[in-house]
Amino acid sequence: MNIFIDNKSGSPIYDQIYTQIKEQIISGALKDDQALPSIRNLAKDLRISVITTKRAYDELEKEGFIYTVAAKGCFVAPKNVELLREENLKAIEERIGEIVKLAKTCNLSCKDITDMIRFEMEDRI
Amino acid sequence: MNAVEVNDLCKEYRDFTLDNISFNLPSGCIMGLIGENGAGKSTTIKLILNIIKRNKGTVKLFGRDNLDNFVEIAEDLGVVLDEVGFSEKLNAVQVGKIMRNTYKKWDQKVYEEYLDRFSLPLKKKFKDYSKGMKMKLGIAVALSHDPKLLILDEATSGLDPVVRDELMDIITEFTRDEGHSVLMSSHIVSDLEKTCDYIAFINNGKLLLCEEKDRLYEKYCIIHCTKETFSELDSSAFIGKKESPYGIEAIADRSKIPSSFEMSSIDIEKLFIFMVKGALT
Amino acid sequence: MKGLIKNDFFVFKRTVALALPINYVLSALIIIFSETDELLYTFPCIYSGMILGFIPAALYSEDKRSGWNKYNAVMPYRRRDYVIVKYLFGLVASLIYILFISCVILIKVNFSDWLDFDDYLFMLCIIVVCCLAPVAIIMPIALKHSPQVGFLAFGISCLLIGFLCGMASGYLDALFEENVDYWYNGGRGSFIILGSVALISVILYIISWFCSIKIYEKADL
Repeated sequence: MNIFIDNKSGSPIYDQIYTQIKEQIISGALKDDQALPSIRNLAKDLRISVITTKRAYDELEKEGFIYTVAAKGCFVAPKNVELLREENLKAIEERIGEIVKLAKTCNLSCKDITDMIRFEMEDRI
Repeated sequence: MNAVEVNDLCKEYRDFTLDNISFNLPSGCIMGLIGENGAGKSTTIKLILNIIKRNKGTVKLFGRDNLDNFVEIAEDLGVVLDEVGFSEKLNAVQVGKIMRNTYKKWDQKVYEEYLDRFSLPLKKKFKDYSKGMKMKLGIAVALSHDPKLLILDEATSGLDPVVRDELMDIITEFTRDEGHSVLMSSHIVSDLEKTCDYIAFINNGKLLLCEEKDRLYEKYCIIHCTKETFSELDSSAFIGKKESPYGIEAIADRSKIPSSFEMSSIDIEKLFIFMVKGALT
Repeated sequence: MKGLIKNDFFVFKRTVALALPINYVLSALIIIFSETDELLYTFPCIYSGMILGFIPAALYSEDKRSGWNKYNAVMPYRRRDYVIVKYLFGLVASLIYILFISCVILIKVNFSDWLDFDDYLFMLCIIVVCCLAPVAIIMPIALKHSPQVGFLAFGISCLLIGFLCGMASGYLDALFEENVDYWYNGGRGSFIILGSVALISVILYIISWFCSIKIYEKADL
């Protein structure tokens, strides 16, 4: 598992860890039921606070990406298709937001945007 | 369980008072006590260790009052003070012999491994040690009897960055075990910033804050703006500011600043300096 | 306590113990070869006795300098153990010296008429006073304030006592002359006084032992 912490970026460290682990789970780099490093070992290896890693793991568990087995540790939860779909929908919504913002700055109408999207989708198919 | 619980701790001297210090160090965590010279960090630690007697308040170590059978508690304490107190006539081997007869859980092999790791000469007299070597010997002794709580009082002042980094590595290693906790005081904030879970600020005998380090990063931010903009903002949002002919740099509570403002993350050293230099002067 | 003893032993070896062999040798030589009272009482008894009496405070002074007393307050030792070991060191060193001197004197007594058993008791009393009284005065003060203050207090006490003795000697001389047959029988007069002083020293020593423990247990280090 690869994790890189950027101290200078604006986003909180626990968020960086959460995001990177989540992406690796979604992409399949982390397999189902694979064991994750313990909260303490991850903290010590990354030279960050234990509280930070605990928070990241707690978020991941809350969202259903990992599960904990008492006295054994944390593991990657088997991929939930629904969950993945939801994640992807969320990502699309975010990008749509960015597109709309940009469109407004160059005065493009809704029709212009949907035309562009249709063009792109047909091209892909 | 909390490794250290301090409640309403007070100590009065003729020209200095430590006033109602209260904080907890949960087991398995590292707490950094930051303060200027003479702020009360060493006094607090000495009160926790019973080196000086408190006027008021309670101190609990591993859930037990530190006045109640301190001898038993001391078996689980590893302490390094700013002056490592071995007689200058001793060498490392003799120190080992003394400690072997001091601690029940003394592990001579672990001690020798540390001496080796730190490249400490066995027969050299303590008075011929450099400051870094003295501190390393102190650490070797503190860690060689399987302590549960490591307390370091200004142990890193006067040391070069390489040695300090080594020490931080050792502390990090020590806390891989969740039963191990560390309380360390320093005025070199950058050392503490890297490894601590909790940060406490002491100034003039008072505890300014004691908080999870991450929450401090989340709560506070640095903003740069012009004097005019500054005066338009909510003044209660600011911890402190620094003015220059080219603008104002201030540390503020994120929640009280409009999100359109560009906010950068703080570092603990700046937060401390701004807090100590006080309110908006 | 073993660790404390070991530490003090290592420190002792490198500090005070350097002076002691010279003491022993010179005292033995003086006792064996001298034929005058003054030298006999001053060096082997008063001077050597006081060196031994300074041992606990000297060890404490070294500890304070290095910070060891603070350090072992956070180790599994009771404060009272720390004080006890200091006193014990002084006591054991004194007892060994007394044993040694006793042997030397007894040898001398066998070979010379000049020294007899009463003289031995006399010297013993002086040694006891000089070994114990300094500890009794210096240690509690050293623990409460500092070793330097302790030694200063001892110096002042010596001056005071010397002054009082000087004043009293005139009076005591008169007292003894009146009952010269009874008191001065074989020098018993001064021996009774000295014996009492030795006893007082022992009592003061024991009191100071307890006082020192109490003081150190309450002290801010």
